[in-house]
Amino acid sequence: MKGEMMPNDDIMLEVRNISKAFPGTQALEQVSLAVRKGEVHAILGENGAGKSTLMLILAGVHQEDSGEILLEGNPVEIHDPHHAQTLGISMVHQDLSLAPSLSVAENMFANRQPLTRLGMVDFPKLYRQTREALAQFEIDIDPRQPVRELSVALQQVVEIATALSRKAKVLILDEPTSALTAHETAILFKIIRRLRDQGVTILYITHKLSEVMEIADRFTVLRDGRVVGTLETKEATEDDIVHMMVGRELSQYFPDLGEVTDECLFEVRNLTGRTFRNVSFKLYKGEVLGIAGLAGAGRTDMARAIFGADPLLSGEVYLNGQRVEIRSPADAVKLGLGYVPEDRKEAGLFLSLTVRENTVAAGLKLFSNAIFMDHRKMLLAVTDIVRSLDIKTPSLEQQVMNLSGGNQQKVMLAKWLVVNPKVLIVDEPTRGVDVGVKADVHQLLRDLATRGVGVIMISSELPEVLGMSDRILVMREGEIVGEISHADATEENVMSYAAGVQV
Amino acid sequence: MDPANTKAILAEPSGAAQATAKERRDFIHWLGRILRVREAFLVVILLVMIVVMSIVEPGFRSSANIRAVLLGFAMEGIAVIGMTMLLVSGGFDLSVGSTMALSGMVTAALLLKGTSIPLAIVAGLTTGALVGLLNAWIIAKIGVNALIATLGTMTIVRGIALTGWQGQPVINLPDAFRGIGQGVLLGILPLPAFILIVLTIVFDILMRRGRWFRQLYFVGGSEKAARLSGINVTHVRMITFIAAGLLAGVAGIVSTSRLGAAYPNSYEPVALRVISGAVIGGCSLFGGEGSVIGSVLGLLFIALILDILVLLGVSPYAQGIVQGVALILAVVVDIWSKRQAARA
Repeated sequence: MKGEMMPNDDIMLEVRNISKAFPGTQALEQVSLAVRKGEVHAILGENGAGKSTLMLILAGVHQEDSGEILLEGNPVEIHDPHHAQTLGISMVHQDLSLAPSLSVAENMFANRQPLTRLGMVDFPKLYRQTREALAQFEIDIDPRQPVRELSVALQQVVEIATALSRKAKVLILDEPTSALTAHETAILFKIIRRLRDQGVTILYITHKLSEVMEIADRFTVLRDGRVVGTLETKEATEDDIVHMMVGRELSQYFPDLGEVTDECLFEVRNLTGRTFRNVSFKLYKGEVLGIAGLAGAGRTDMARAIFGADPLLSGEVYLNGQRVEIRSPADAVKLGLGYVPEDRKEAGLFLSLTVRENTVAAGLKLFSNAIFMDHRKMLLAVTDIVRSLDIKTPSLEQQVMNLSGGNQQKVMLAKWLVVNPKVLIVDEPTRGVDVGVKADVHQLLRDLATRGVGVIMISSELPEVLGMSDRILVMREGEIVGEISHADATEENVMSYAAGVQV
Repeated sequence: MDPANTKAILAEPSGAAQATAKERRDFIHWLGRILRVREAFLVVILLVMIVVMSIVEPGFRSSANIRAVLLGFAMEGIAVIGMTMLLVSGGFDLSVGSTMALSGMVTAALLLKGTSIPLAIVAGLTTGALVGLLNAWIIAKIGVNALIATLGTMTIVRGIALTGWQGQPVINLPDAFRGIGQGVLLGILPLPAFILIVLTIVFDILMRRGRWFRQLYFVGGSEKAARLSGINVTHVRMITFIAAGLLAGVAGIVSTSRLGAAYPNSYEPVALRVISGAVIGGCSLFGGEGSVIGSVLGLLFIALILDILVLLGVSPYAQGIVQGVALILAVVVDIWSKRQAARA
C-alpha cells in the first residue's frame, strides 16, 4: 500500500479516476493516465471521446467532478488557466487565442511585459525578450509585427513560444499541425523533439495517425469518455490505433477513383490576383482536382478569387465553354459554383443559427416562393440531407455551435449539396475532423464527382491529396508549378514541386 | 361487493393522483419552455403589470391614460420595427429621432405651402428614405462603423431640421391631415396604434417567413459566411437602412399629424428608447437575433413602466434611472438564461 503512495520520480503528471459530467453527457468516466517526464504522449480518440475535456481540466479551464491530479507526485487542484500556468502546465488551443491587432511581442508577454522604473512598458526589452524566445524556432518574425499579418502557421509558432516562455513543464498541444504545411510540421516536430530532450513533457492531441507514429513516445486512446489503453508507439501499428479509437475495423483506403470524362466543365485562363499569377487549368466533368502546396502558396486566395470573394486583377473564367464574369460570391452561386472555406467558424458557418438555417443559407430561393419561405419543402430537404450525410444533431433546430467539428464540417457541405452545384471548391475539407468523418467526407466528394460535379479540393494533407485526386496541381509562390496525374503522384514529387527542390 | 371491483376503486385515486402530479410537472416544464421564448415572457410580465396597476391605481385604466400611453408608444413602435431589422442584420441607428423630426418638418412645411396631403406625405417619406440611403451609403458601401456613422448623421439631420426652419416649429396644420394622427377606431383605438398593429403583424410575418427578410439573420449571424453563401451583403444592408429610414419617416409624419405641428428639436430620446426596447425584446447588438413582436413588446414594457412611474407620482427626473435598470436587467436575464440553456 505504501509503495503505491510513493512519488514515482519518472512520472511528471498523473490523473487518477477523473470523472466529469456535463448535463446530458458523461464526458469523462474514471479516467486514469500517467505521463512520464520528458515524453511526447499523444492523446487520441474520435471527436467527443473526451480528449479535449481531459486536456481542458489539466489546463484549468474545466474542473473535474471527482478524481485527483498529481503533479510530480503531489496532489494539486487546478483552479483556473492562470493557476495551471503557474503550476507549469500550458496549453496551446486549436483555435488560436491571440489579439490580432497587437504585436507579436505584446501577445507573447501579455500581462507580464517588462516594465521601466516608471511602470511603463519597456518596449526595447520586450522586443529583445521576444526575439530570444522565438530564436530557437529558426523562424524570422518581427516582434513588432501585428499578429494578424502572420500566417496561421506562424501564429501557431507564436502561441507555442508563448507557452514555453512561461517556463512550462507540461505543454499541451491541441492539434497543432491542423493549419500547418508539411514543411512547417517538420519544423514543429524538430522543436517538439528538442523540448522533449530538454525534459519538457508534451501532451499531444491529434487526429493524424502518421504524426503519432512519427513524434509520440507513447499514446493513450480515449473512447466515449473512458481510457481504452496506453501503449508504446513502437509496439503499435496504425491499424491497431484505428481499431482502438473506433472500436471497429475501418478502411484506411480512399474511395475508388471514378471515370473522368474528357468534357471540360470549368476552365480558368491566366488568372492573376494579389497573391497569385497566371493560373490556368481545366476541370473535367467527374473529376476531383487536387490542389497541393505549402501554406501561403496562394491556393486559398486563388479559390476565393474564382468564387468572387476577392477581386481578380485579370484572367478569364469559363463554365461549360461559356465565358462568365464572377464579381461576387452571389454571382458564383447563381452560376452553380460552391465554396467550402477552410475557416469553419468564421467564414463557413453561422454559429448562432440552427442546423436547418445553415443548410438552406445558399438556397433560400430554392425553398421559397417569391416572398415567403416554404417551410415544408425546407424541412423535407434538410431532413433528407442530414440523414444522408449522417449529421449527428439532436434536432434540426440545434445551433451549429453545439455540434462537433466533424458534424459542423458536414453541415457546411450540406449547405452546398442542397443547391446541386456544378462545381464545388473545398478548402481543407477534413481539417480537424476525426477518422470516421474523414472517410465520410472523402466518400461524399467522390460520389459528387461520380454524379458529374467538378470537385476542386485544396488540401495540405499529402495522403488526402494523393488518395483522392484524379489529377494534382501543385502551387508555389502564387503559381502553378506542376501537374501530376493520379498514377504518377507520390509524396516525394508533390513535395518537391511544392517546396521547389529537386528530388 | 365484487373484490375485483373494490380493487379497481381503491386503485383509482392513486392513479389519478399520479396523473395529476405528472400533469403538473408537464405543465411546469411547458411553462418553463414557453417563458424562455422572449415574446411570451414579456406578454406575461406586461399582463401582470396591467392587472396589478388596474387594481391598485384606478387612474391607470382610465381611457385617457390608455390613449396617452398607446399614442406615445405607437410613434416609437413604428420606429422600433425598422430598428429591429437593423439590429438583426448587425446594424444600428442613432439617427432615427432626427429622421423623424426632419420628415415631420418637411411634410408640415409643404402642407402649409398648400401642397396636397398625399404629396406632402410622400415627400416626408422620401426624406426618411433619403436619410436611410445616406446611412446605408456611409455604412454599407464605404464601411464606416454603424455607431459612428449614425452618431454623425444624427446631428447632421438634426442640424438640417433646425437650420432649415431657423429652429422654429411649423404649426397650424390642416384638419384633414390631423385626422390621421388624431383619428380613433371603434371608439377607443387611436389610428396610430392601429397603424402600428398592422405594420407589426406584416413585418413580423415577413421577418419570420419572408425569403428576403431571412437574409437579415444570415448577414447578422456571420457577415463573412453570408457573403460566401452567395448573399449580397452590401445590397441587403443598403435596403435595410433605407427601410428603417422610411419607417422613421412614417413615425415622424404620424406623430406630426397627431400633434398638429412639427418641432425641429423633438424626438431626441427616441433612438435610445427604441434600441432599449428592441434589446429588452430579444434583439442582440451582435446581430442575428430578434423579432418584430419582441421588440414592440419590449418597447411597450418601457412605455408602461414610465406611465406607471408618472401615475405613482415618482419624480420625472428618476424615470431615466428605472429605464436604464430595466434595460440592463433584461440583458443580464438574457445572459443567465442562455447559460442555463447551454447547461441543459
